[in-house]
Amino acid sequence: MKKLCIVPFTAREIPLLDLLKKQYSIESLVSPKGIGLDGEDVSVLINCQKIGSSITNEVNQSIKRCDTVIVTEVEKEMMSLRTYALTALRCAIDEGKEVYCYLDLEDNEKKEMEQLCKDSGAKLIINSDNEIEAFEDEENLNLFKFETPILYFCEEVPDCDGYSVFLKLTQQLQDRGKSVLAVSSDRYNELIGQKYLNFDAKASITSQLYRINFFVHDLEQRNHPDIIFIKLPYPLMRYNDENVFDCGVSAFLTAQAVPGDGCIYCSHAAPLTVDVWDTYSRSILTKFGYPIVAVHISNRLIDNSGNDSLGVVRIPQQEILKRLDGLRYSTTIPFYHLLINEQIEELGEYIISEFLDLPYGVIK
Amino acid sequence: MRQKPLVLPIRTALGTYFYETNRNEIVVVNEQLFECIEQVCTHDSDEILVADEIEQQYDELQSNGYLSPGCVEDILHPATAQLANLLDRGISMLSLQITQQCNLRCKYCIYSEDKNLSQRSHSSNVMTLDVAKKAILFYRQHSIDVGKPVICFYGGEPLLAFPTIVKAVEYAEDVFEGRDISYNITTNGTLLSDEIIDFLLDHDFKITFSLDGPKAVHDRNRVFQNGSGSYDQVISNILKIHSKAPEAMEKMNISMVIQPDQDYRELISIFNEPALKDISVIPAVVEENSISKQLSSDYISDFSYESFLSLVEYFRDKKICHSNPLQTSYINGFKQNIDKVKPTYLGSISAPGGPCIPGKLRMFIDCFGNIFPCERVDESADMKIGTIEQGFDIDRVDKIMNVARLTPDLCKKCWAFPFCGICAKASSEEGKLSASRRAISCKDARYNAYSIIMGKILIYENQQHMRKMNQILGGKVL
Repeated sequence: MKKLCIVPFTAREIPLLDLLKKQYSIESLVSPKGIGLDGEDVSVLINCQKIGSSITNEVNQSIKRCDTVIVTEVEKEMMSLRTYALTALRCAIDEGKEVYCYLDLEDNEKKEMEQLCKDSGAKLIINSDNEIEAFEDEENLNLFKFETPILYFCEEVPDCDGYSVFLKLTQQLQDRGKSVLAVSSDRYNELIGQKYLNFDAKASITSQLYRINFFVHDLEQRNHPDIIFIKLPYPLMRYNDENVFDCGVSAFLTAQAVPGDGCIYCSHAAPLTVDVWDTYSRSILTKFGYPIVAVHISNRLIDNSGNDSLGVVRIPQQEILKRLDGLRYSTTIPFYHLLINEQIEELGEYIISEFLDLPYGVIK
Repeated sequence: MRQKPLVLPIRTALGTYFYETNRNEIVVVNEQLFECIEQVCTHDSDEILVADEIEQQYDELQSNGYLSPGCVEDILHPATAQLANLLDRGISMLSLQITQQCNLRCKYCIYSEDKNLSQRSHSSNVMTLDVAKKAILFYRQHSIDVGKPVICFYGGEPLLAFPTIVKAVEYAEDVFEGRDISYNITTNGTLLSDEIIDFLLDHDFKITFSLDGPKAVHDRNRVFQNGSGSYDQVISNILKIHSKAPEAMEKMNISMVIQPDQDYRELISIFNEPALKDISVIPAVVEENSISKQLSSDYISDFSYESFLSLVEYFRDKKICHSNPLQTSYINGFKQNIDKVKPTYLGSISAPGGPCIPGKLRMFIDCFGNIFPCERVDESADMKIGTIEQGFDIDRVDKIMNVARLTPDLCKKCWAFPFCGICAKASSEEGKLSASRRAISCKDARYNAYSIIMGKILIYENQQHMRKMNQILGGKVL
């Protein structure tokens, strides 16, 4: 197996680890000191139980020792981290490695890297956001129907472990012999055998509707999955006046394009009140056409005591597990903390029994 | 018999309202209903005779959840249960007392020997580099979930310890590698050499200068140890920064302490200086024993008139007067305040609006590595919430955060509960938390709450007025 180095490694890359371990021997997870300290288990980034992989701050040696380097996606506003990532990218190219670059590069940076590759013989694969072409075949507009059960993955606010849960549940069902078509707007998807769809196409809303419908239907026809998972790019609804996201537009549009059968709802570490979830599920069913099948309670606590109205503090995972104990089946909607293997197995069984291995059904 | 509702009836020249504390909402009511509500609030309801129609309106409001008595049964800050976790990973800013030395002896300084006796005095204590590094590392460990860490340098006069600041910044850049850390400094502005200015600009510092006004005003109080005024040096240094990097002025602030007998016109003449015409101002009235003194009626009159013009500008979106940074600060404060009046429900367990989470927003570390809630509290044993060696004393943080538990009966019955700004600092007497001291601060807190509510009503009345004018003028607004 090729030796892999991931740099800069942040909490965002944690969901990839289990899947990447199947293809690579993970040599180094490199983070700058401000993100994680040398020798710390990566679990410190999300305050969960130990994962068994350690961070290193040593960039150059780590890159030298490996065969393949993944330079991770960094938001443009995070200037220090971006500078760090660019430095690592240059180092990886200088060392002649196979480099998967998820960093958004400016044109001049792309040119610079391509020139460096020519000089060093490195193999550089740049994975940037693809511009989606407008769906142009407007004379043959057709909304396809789906034969496969479809489950959505949504987050109440960003960073509620949605991607982790999406990947873990996909893996869980695949381990049980089921074929899963997993689609989301996470750019790492192609790297780990899932499908990437950019929901933010520069096209009319109607055109987008048909585009998404066609895209997923096309994949369904080619892959014949047992079940389709779609992770939404934005929360289902606005959180408050300061945090509207896209007001649920992409969720509604996608639900019209690809009608769902249920959703796995990833929530922040909210108080668990029975009334809230039953009412909420009815509201989601009305708006989007599918009910909540299960709730994942993350350890992400919303902290608006600082300057950021949607600031986050990760509380210890154990606290969530304690809170869930005894409450998990108190409503019609089961609660989980799906970063725990036993609980993801349980949900996997439930999904198979409820959506796949049904004792009877109606032909539509 | 009707229970007395926890509301504040308000009559203005243009309308009648009540503020519902439990819901943080303002309700417009007709005159008769208002009089009924006023009477219920001030008399036993058995004595009140009202028309059936008014009684019906009152009942209707009650059935919709208004005009309810105070619902708070226990006072507890909502962050209490998660206090340890919030302090473990969510500290927003580190404020380092890099030195207790100062080259000025401002006459109102809280660190003067004869001023606030529960507060430390000027001294020669400095923070060693070792303590600074430990403090920075402590902050790093306790800010894992904070997107943009901030380190603030404080004193005394922090630039007296400039070499330590340089090394501390260097250390912070290393420890926070990969994160966008920013720096603030509060300085008297007298020591800004070219070298220091270049350093501060290179590291994108946000600088808060202490500048009390034009020379005659500033030099009344902000003096060197020999008694001479500091204005000339301060203004010269500010102009130096302006000439080197005019765009950097957008990140600068002026901390302006206003004397009670200050003349408003004289004060704002400082903004005629081109470098200062758009600067941000943080105004404060000089304090005695942690209580702001009362400004003169002349000042209030002049300031209020200009504030009125500023508000007209804000409402009409038209340039009417020559505004100044003090008015800009007022309007910004006005806008922030009216946003506070929005539907939120007080539960049976709640806490007055004031206390932040001690140490979370602005963890203040003194020269010796002791942790305090912020740089404004007395540096006394009672206010200390931990050390960088031993970490936070969660029980002490809890006590300071839940300071309203000193006066539970007073707070639960107070209509200003959601807006109360009385924190531990304002509840502190001789370095200890004090119920009586907290009670003294109530008047100011209620006045501020009243101002916030009146601001919201002003917006409403202006909208109503504009609507009527548009109707009369057929869509053409004056």
